[in-house]
Amino acid sequence: MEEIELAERARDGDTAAYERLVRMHQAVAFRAAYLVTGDASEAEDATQEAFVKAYRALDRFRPGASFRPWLLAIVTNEARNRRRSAGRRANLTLRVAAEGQTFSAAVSPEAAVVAAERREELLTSLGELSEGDRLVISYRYFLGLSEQETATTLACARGTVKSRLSRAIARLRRAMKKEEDA
Amino acid sequence: MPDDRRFSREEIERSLRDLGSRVEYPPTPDVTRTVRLRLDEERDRQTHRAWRWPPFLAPRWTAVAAALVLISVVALFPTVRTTLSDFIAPGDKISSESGGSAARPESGGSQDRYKQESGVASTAAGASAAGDGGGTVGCFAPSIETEPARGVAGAKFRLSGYHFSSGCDRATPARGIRIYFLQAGRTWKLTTLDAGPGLAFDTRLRVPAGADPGRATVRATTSSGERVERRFVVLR
Repeated sequence: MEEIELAERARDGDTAAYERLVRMHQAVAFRAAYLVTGDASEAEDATQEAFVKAYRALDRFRPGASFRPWLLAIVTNEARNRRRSAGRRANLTLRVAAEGQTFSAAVSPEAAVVAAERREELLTSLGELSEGDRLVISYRYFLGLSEQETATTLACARGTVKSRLSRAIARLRRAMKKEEDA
Repeated sequence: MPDDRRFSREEIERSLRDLGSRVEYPPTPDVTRTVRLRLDEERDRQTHRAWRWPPFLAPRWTAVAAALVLISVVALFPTVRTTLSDFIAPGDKISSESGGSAARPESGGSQDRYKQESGVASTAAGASAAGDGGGTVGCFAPSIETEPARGVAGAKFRLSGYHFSSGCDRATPARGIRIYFLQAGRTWKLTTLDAGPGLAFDTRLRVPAGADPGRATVRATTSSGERVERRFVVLR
């Protein structure tokens, strides 16, 4: 509710309201940009530019709609353009945060190590997917967007997100099995 | 089969969600200030345009009027015409004054000087052309210098920047200039600073402790997204 109000006020030229929207969404916007560019500095520039462009495009923002996916669509577009103009493929090097040294009684240290290895495997397999597959998975599961939000962000239909997710997970499964067999 | 279960769709989805909560991203930069600055600048520029140029003084008509005055002056005053032709083709003047091959070294020197002068002239021309389109005075490209241009990881170096104005007005110093150190796909944000009244800045920074020996780049990014880079060599 507050977000909708802020978006309405920002559309009427209230930059302070827009500043609050920027503060609310800059973390998810930066992460989305980073998932596309794989470079922190490019992601920061894309985020900043996207917020400025979004402000200019507020007239086209549908009243009452969710601001986050609309903004993320602009962020994704900007990040893709920047990466393309830099003439490089996204070299995504995501890392898993280091596990704390205290293991709960339910999880043995060995099990924790195995789980960490599997996470690394999954991350490696994910990095080998095409950009389209990787983005649909990372937006859906890493950024926690709903199917509808992912569809708005990637500018496609909800059904397309479903089928793409299904295909991407199948590819991921094959890649992981191959890794396991090897 | 436990392994088959591990590769089921549900299990992979669960693992992806779990992974998502553990992925380590670079720290989120606070872009609030720079976005606000850019929006304020845009608004100021629009307001500025709205009242500053009455229709008869619109930049394109001012430029046309200036061009007509210039052509009239050149056409009416022979001395101006001569000076201008000497400036445009100094080689001809030298050969007509000195004649022969004996004047060649001097002629070369003059041409070097001419190149420098015409470089400045073309910048100024480009600037006024840009001004016609944007309704503002033209831009000078910002530049940066590092002193020294090489150093070991952790060493201090001096970074100077010039012509960092906000927009093209050459009067308002740029704010929120971000300085990065880049090497082999890694990026360190060194600082964010504002240009001084002379549209310049001068600061002392350190080569990131994690930088490896080899080539690197120092980059300044303005709040409008313009970038200037300078090579830096990290010594062993």
